[in-house]
Amino acid sequence: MKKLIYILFITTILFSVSCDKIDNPIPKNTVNVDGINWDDSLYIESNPAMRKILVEEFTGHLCTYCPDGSREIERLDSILSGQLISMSIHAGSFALVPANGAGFDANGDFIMDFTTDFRVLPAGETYYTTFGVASNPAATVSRLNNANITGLAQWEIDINAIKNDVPKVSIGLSTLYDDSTRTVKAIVNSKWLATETGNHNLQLYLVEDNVVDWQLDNSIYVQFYNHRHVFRSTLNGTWGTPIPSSNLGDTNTQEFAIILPANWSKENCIVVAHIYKSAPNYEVLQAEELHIIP
Amino acid sequence: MNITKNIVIILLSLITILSNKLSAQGIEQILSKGEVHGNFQLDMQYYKEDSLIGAQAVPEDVLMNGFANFIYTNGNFEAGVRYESYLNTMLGFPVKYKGNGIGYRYASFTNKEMKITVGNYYEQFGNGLIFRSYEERGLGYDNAMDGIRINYKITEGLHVKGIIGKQRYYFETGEGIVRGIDGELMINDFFGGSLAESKTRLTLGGSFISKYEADQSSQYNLPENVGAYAGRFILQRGKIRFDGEYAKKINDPSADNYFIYKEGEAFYIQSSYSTKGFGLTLSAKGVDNMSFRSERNASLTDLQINYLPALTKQHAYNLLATLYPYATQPNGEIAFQGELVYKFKKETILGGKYGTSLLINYSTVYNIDSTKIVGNDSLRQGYTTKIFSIGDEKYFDEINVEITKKFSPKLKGIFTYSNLMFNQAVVQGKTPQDHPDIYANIGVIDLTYKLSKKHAIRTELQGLFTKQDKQDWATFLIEYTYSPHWFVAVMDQYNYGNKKSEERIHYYFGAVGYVNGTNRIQLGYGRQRAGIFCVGGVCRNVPASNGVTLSITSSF
Repeated sequence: MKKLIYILFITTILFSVSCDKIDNPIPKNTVNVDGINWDDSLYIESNPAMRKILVEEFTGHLCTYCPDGSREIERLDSILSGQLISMSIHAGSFALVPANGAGFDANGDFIMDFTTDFRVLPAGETYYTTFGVASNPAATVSRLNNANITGLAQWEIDINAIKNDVPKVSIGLSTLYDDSTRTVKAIVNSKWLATETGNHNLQLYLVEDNVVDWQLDNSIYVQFYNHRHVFRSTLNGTWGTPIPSSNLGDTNTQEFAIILPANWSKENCIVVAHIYKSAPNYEVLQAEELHIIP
Repeated sequence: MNITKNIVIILLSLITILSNKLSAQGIEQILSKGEVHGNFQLDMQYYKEDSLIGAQAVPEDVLMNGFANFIYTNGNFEAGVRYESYLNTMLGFPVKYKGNGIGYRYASFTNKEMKITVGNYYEQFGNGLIFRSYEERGLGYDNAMDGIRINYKITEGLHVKGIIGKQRYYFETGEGIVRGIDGELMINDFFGGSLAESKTRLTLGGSFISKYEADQSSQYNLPENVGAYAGRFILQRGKIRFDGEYAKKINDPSADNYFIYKEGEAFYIQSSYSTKGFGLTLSAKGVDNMSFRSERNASLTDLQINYLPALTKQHAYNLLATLYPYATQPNGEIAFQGELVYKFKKETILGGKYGTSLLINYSTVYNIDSTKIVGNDSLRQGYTTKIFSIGDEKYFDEINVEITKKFSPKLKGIFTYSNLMFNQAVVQGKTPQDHPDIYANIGVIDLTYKLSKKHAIRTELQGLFTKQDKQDWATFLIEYTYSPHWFVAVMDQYNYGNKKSEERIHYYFGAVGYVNGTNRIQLGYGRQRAGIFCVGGVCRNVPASNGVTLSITSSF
């Protein structure tokens, strides 16, 4: 019986030391990764039952009807409540900075100032030419039909066609931000929920929301126009980085960093991650977005 | 290479110790009691391209998997190694098996009531709901422990096992450390007296397992020590047996459960009655969030600590076994199974001259009834569920009837009918929009005719009929055996009912084999259909292939 008591004693100790019950899954303090104490960290994981839809809109500050497209995206976003991720790519001739961009009237007052260059070179222009933008407003919805560019009347139809799809891959996206160096780090975990053939890439963008600047809107020069979801940069090249395999259950982790220029608002910066089928298909299978600070 | 070096050091140390203690004659006497046993298997395939079935050639032309076990026993001492060779890994097996190495090595000794094992070992607590370390070579599955195990018989009727180690991860070990203890109390033997003679026998068991893996996440506060515990019983009286187990696991966020912190639980219960010519078994199983691995981000069949058996009939006939096999869903399922075996006596209407055996098996699997937590879920519980309540989505359902009848001293037949429903979207991870549930009827006629004492011929005619997936299939097999050394077989699996006429493909296969004692050599040629191969509810994908296969097994 002594032996039994002894074993029960050991078992009790084993029980008490070998279980970590966690009451606060999400850390609230700074985190240390790669030897850096990041000020803030955020995490989001895609809902395995919801395919998020990425709308990549092509625009330009001198595109007079493009704001109609932006307003249509905002309307669709309000209907889809969290399922839509949008991005405005300033590219093409309407996005150029004209030689007479800053204009003054006879009294020397500002009448317009289109000196801000929103273009992202070469990525934005590459998307513009590769996807074949011919007129504006123009966008591609999750790059369906080989990244077919469509007008605003088609966007809702395309969205409705895929909004109930079951995602084939899930994305876990983390953003870390260090204010002393204005460094943003993004970590993406992907996991395949179904086996997919072909090659796939992970693409990371940095997007800045609510940038106030000039915009031509239906023939009116608007000084304090609110530019939504402005494409600022890629984090991993124009076409992203390959995901090695796409069999059910396969996982992959990739991380990239970018330093924010001084004129980008950290409060408004968002990292967008999406996984798409490699060229020539381009279809975006899943997407996520996350601010860099809470 | 380190493993080999360690073994040499251990053996040299043992020899040195023995040499100091014993005379040369003594050593000779001890060594003369020793025995060596072993077995060997080699599988090799020459691959050629076959665009019709999507089979690819490989750059190496030929791929090979092989292994040999060598086990030395001497009195209370036992040691063994398994040499494994993958040059390179055959298609369908995990590619991380590559090259040569010692996949398994151990030494153990028994000293009175205690048995000590160091190195690799396989072990199971209860039904395996929280811990089972085993290998299934056909799947390329091996989660052998590498560490220390102690089996201790405290007293008559009371046994305890303690384990600690890391799990095998191909030719390495996983990062996590697994440790645990299991106790089994055989009430009748423990208390003795009149209880020892009782017809009613009761065994109680309890186990605890904990894994350790460092938290290196910036996103979450992850539990570094995750514990799971289970209790079980076996109650037996005469022909009736009743056994069950319940297991619970604390918060274990992982890639499998999308990093939720909900606790997991599982149960398994079975009752059976058997007497001469009659057997009835009823069983039920529930699983909720019970994937348990020693690394959080592991996937597929890697580093699984526990085992959740599929509560469905295991099939041998190829259409039944390989087209729609069920795989356990560790995130949640409820399953029921009943099996009845009855033997009609000889010289009765149904029994005939030689008797007839009837087996009826019914199994069904559903999801668990759960509600996703929407909105604020700061504790990351993911969903709520009532304890093991049945959901409304069916994963699998099968009724299977098998009649075995001997018609004459020369002719014997097995007749099987199966009606099944298979939720391919859930079980195989496909998109539900274009992968509806499959409803199929399957029939198998298996006849063996003994031409003479040494010559026998066996045929299988199988048909699978479904409107979904790839529609109707048929398989025909004929096998000729010339005992005790030779056999030859030809098989054709034909997707004759496929709506797409270009996919009505013949998967033909021929094999010839030679058996002499424990040596067996088989040479085959033909097509292998892409599909899923499962053993006990654990599955792997097998790609299509075409080519020549060679298989050699031996033991001594």
